[in-house]
Amino acid sequence: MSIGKNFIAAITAAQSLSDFFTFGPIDHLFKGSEVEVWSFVSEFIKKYGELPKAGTIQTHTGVALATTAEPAAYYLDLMRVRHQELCIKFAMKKAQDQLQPGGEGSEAALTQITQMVLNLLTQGQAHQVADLRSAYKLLIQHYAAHNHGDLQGLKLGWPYFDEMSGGIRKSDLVSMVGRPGIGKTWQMLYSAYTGWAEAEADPQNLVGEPRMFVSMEMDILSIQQRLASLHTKVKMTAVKKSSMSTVELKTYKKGLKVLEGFKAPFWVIDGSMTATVDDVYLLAKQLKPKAVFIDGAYLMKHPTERDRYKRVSENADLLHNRIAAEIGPVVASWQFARTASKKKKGEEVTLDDIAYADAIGQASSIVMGIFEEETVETLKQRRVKILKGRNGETGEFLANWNFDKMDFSQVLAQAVEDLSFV
Amino acid sequence: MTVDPYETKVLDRDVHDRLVLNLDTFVADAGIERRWVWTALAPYVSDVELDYVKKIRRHRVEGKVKGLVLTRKSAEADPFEHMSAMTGAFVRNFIRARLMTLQQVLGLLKEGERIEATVLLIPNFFHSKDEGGSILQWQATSLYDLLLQRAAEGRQTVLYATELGEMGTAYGSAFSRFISTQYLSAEI
Repeated sequence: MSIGKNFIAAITAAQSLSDFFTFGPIDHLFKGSEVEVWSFVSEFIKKYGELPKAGTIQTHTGVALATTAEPAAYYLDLMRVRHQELCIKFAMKKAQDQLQPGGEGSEAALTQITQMVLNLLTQGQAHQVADLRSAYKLLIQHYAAHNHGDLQGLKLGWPYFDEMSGGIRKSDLVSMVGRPGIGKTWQMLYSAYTGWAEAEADPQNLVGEPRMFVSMEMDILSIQQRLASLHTKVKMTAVKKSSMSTVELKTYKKGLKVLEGFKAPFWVIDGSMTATVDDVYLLAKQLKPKAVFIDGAYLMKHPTERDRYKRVSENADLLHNRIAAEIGPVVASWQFARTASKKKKGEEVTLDDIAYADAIGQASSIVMGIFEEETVETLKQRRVKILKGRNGETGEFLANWNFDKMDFSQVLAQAVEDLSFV
Repeated sequence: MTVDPYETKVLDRDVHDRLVLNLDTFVADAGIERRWVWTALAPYVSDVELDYVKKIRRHRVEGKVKGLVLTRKSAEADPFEHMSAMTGAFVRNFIRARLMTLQQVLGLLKEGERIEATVLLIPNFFHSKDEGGSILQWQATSLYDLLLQRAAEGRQTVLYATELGEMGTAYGSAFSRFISTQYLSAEI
């Protein structure tokens, strides 16, 4: 008997509906004559809320199921392997056809293979149901970790935020929102770099924590220059204008050499080469970062959606459901809409003021906003508001905005020293 | 003729490059001429004023001193010049200071607008009647509210009044008591 029929035999013999649900969507794993039998089983469950008996299946489909020796999960694993092999062979064949005379060429072949890989990876992750009766381990571990005050998630480097959120975790989409040109990129880079560097400095952490930074607006050189400035504390303007002093150049070179010995990689991606969420997802699958940062997420493309509002909305959901859920927390930057700048004095900026899509606020577990008007004070410090916390918390903290010292950390105590420039 | 903002050595190119880059925007917000940003403070103010400006961060954090009131000692003294020099010093230390006339302040209060300034300087806050000053009851009340609110938020205010006794008569004893106990004072 085929693997699929063995699976059906095992699951109907066990009569465990919860097993059926925990397997997630598996329709695509059945082949040939298995499809009809599985369709009958699925429909039966939908209609009657129970698994059919083997005899009922035989009556309606004419297929007599054998007695199986192994649990259903065993046959399911075999079905997955079979499905992968068939898909890979099919895609390879199609790709080869595209490369033949009269085919559509290598781009089409690559798309064929990429789509196949993406489909396989997505299907492999589809577990959407959990049984509360099995929640003991997960919930008690979570409670114990928090009860000891340990930060379970990854840090962004602002103590107020890290303590309030408990760190960012898998399935978190953290959104940073601000008007154009307000400095979202620096905040994104600071938070990506700081978590990475703190993990590196932690003697208990033997492997470090890889980061992946995707910029939709800047090339790799510009991003790496900024990161190097953060790391070496050499002013970005001196780096950009190639006008470092001898001492600065020495510090810069030394700092860059230190980076070479870091345990975990910090991947920088030019977003123009990885334009869609699927592209980033595939890259992340290979590079295995602990957290993914996407600067200018509103610029990400979508394979089918052309309308800007729908596209941003779809992408926000995809970032949450695909990358955050399957790979690790995602920190993404978005823009405030014009409505935010038209607010009267004293009127609060809210999640409704995020440009293009309500979905961003809804899909994000945490939303931070920077929207102070530009003043002489915002040249040195900026107020960051938590517009939405994971558990509904709101608040704000003051962050340094110091390009002389490349310091974007949280202001922990207001300075009281005399003014320097009188 | 172009002026080099760094020529007086008051500004530091490494620290102030972004300030100088958008200087016009920042001086417009502050309500002063550009030159005050690169002009040293000491030649234009008394020791008390100089000390007040230097210690502004401490005043804000400790909350004991809510502001500074300047009073007339010499008829030649120009409170507008004193306050322009102070505002310039605050701006180059990245503190949002705004120099506003009493009419500008009253206009904003009438519109219900909040005055966003870490340090607010009013060079014509009170002039005696013989100098043409006058204040209506609602204006006095609004201004008292403003000073109390600013004090509560840790924001500093610098005022000029020709004479404190007369100001007390015009604004009322509570106002007068607030200024005399919460503000530093200096004669100019």
